[in-house]
Amino acid sequence: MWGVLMRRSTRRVLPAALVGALMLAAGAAQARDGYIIQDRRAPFDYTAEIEPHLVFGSAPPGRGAGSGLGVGVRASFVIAPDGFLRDVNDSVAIGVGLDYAHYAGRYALDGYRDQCLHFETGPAGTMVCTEVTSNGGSYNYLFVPVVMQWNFWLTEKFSAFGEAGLSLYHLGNEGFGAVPALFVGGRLRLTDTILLTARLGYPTISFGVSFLL
Amino acid sequence: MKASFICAAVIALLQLSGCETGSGSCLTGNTCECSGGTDCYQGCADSDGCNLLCHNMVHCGGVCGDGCDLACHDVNDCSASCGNDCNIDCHNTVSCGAFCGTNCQYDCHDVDRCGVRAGAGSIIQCTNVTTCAVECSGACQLFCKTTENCDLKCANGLPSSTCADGSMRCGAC
Repeated sequence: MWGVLMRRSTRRVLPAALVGALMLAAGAAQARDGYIIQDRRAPFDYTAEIEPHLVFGSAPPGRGAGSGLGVGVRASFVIAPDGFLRDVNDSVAIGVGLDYAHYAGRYALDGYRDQCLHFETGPAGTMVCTEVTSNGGSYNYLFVPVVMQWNFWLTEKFSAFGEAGLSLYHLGNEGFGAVPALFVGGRLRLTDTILLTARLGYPTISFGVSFLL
Repeated sequence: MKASFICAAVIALLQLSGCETGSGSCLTGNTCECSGGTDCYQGCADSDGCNLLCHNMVHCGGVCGDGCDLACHDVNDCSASCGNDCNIDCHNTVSCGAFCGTNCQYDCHDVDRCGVRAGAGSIIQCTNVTTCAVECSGACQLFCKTTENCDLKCANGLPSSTCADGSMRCGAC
């Protein structure tokens, strides 16, 4: 059942990403006559953004492998509504997230190998593997990204952002780890407080809906 | 209230994060080969009767049930875990470690360290080895040739004997 879902989902990831990017680009194009990037402040007076989303990823950090999908949420809190640049409509927020993703080794983009799950010490100080994964194994990750988000409010309908920070993760027996988190993304405004949000980067990519508070 | 709910949710998610267990991806009767790269561990998905081959990498190993052939060469550290009636060949490595059940045929040559834990009826050969350490859980035979340290330990109160043919045995010659 899972294999079928994964096969379907991986087939749909790229098209979905493409559609998302096209939608965002279309939004930007439609609003081309409404550039607001040279305004000083963000067009929306908000203090926080809550964004539930779907999560996709490949080649996860640590001992896991393969490609995966899951769900998560990102909360971003505006710390500098005027941003870093004078006369540019930017703003800065701190983002904290919680993402859960299930990875299947068999869907690794570069093929898979099974991994040893358990070693025991043998005679003469040798190490003997006594249990291996099947079909590349499967791995459940919990990510906690903590990032600085730099927003550029390009038009009334479209905004872009870059995010940099750290993503803490937890993987079963391996425990906790941390990797750099780098993302670029965009938002397409649906209403004054609801936006479609796409985020590309590492360790995950995501597509979701943002609610401005 | 909210904080405790969030804590409970995070703990629940941590319980979900983990690795599944498995038994490998090689099918009975198939020969599955792994070479190149750094690590590769193969297993017999149907448990018995696989042929697992490793060579030219850093760490490699196989896990199998009964009646399997496992071979490993030109690897730093080879590992083999097998049930009964297995043939294991390990050569030109730094270390060869193995667990196998009854009637195991284990050949280890041109290796620094061979360490084998085997069941009754097993025959182990070490040739051109620095250290060959074998533990048998029943009557077994160990042949060492051009081996600096040849050590046989017998479990279950069996005596260790050196026989006229040069072999060491758990149980009588």
